Amino acid sequence: MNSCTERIYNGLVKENPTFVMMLGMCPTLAVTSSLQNGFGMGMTTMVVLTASNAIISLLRNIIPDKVRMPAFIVIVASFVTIVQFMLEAYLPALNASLGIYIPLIVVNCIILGRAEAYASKNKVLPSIFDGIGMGLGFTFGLSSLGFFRELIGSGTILSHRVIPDEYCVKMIGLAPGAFFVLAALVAVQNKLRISKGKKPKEIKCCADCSLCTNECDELGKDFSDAVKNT
Amino acid sequence: MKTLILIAIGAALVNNVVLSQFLGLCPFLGVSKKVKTAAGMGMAVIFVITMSSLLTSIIYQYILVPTDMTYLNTIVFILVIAALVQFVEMVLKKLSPALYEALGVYLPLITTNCAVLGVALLNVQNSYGILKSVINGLGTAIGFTVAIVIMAGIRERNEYNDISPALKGTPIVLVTAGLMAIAFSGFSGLL
Amino acid sequence: MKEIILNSVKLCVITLIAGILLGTVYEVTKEPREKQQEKSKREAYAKVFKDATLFEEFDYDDKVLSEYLADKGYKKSTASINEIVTAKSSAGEFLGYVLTVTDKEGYGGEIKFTIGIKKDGIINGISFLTLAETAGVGMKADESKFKNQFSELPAKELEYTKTAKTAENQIDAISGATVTTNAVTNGVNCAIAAYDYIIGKES
Repeated sequence: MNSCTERIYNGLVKENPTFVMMLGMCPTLAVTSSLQNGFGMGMTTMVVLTASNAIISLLRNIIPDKVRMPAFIVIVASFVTIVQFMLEAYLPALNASLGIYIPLIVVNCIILGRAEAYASKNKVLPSIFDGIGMGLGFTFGLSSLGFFRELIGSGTILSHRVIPDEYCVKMIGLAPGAFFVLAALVAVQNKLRISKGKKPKEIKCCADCSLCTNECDELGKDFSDAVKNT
Repeated sequence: MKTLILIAIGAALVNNVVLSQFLGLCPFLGVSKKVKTAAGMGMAVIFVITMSSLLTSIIYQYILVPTDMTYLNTIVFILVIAALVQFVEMVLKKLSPALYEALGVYLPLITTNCAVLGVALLNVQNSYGILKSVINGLGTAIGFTVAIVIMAGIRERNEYNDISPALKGTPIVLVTAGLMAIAFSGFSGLL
Repeated sequence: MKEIILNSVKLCVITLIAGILLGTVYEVTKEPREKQQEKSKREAYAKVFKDATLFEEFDYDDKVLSEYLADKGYKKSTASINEIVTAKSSAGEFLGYVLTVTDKEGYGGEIKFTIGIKKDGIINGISFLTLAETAGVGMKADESKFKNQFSELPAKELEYTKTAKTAENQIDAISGATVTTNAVTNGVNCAIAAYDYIIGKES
């Protein structure tokens, strides 16, 4: 069981998808205008990620290597659609407020990235815990962004007013605010990293998201070489 | 005609795909270091999104709706897009090596660009017909290209600026994107 | 060659299983999903007609109504009526109509809402079914400060104003959200036009 708790720690802290890996930026910025939406999106992604990790790990010896990407996409897309049905049936309000970003979970870098990097190479149980860990890490990231944006942007926490309307910075809740809040977050991390003598971070997800794993740096380099040569 | 123009302008400027809908952020942040590569990426995106809008809306109208299987749209669209990208790559390689050289390296990056799937889904959500879908796709892709090229231009300029080390790299790019989003929100007065 | 065929077969099998699974889940969740939609519809009806308990479908010709509305300047591409029901008290007494309206010109896409109009031609209230506007700006349409303005107004064509309201047929716009205000007002006007049509047809 030790490897399972290690997986959870890995997802929440060591390789946190939002703060450390900087994956899945589209939903991170798009749905975090309120805490509730951020949390809902994070949990939905976690369910899809855990289920797809489990199935992909189960089928890892059956799926032919050459067509693994389409196979992964089919599995992930099926789970996303299933989750969408469930939300429609039991949580219609959340489904309405997340809208198009639910089907877009299919192309979320985190899911295909974990399938490629972990689930397709490991046993079922650790893969499930990897999904839970990563999902929790993502939920934590989205919730905290949502918390700050909701607090500063509309002065509420879970729709309970804590700051009078006149003192809110409306822009933080809007599209530009999403960029600014994330910029501030990365800048703080860079400051910490620099003071520890480490290099500041770059957005990794430059190339194909499905390749976005730890080896991404090299792939990114390959890509920029290829671009240079053209 | 008027609605088509409105759709195109709305997609390209008012509801800019990157700056207000946050679709396709990965390439927007990752491939915007040089204007030349940004423009190449933009061209490839215009090509693929327009083609995929056409294809997905044809499939939706003539296969999924008649067979009452519209609930399969996510899975069908993503497979169509993946296949389309592969196919375009192969065809370009054979028929037009010059074009392949210009766009080839960007094509594999586009399958998981969420803007492509996003546009296909938005077309369905807004119940656009085939022509409207293509126009919406084209407009969206042009909006993406405009945003990424402007971004690359700004990044080329502030490459040598004296920026505090903590803000260097990603943070300053995000701040730039935020300022661009403010500028683009001014377009909402157009409609 | 053999490998390619084998791979394709495997991929096809995976896709097939996924498809069957999806179909099953679709069928299983169909009932609760429809129930949920029905429930939210009922709730939206009840919200705009508190004293009514019975809602019965109102029979009308959709095509004729659309033409009538297009004549009045409400084209199907901008605003349209989805459904009309009659509201009745538990004793079966006729109280008024509830119309479901979709306006396509919201800032974040479609805006769908129900509006209740009493039999004496007074608007009872509106309630949103779909509202995907910008948080903190257009979303304010759902706050009572904006929404309640429509209550108790006579069902005559309305307009919005950015300065304080001076006439009975005016409502105060949401500041910074002209697009949303315009869409909602246009939707309400469309419903009022449809109400005129119903009245005209009955008398």
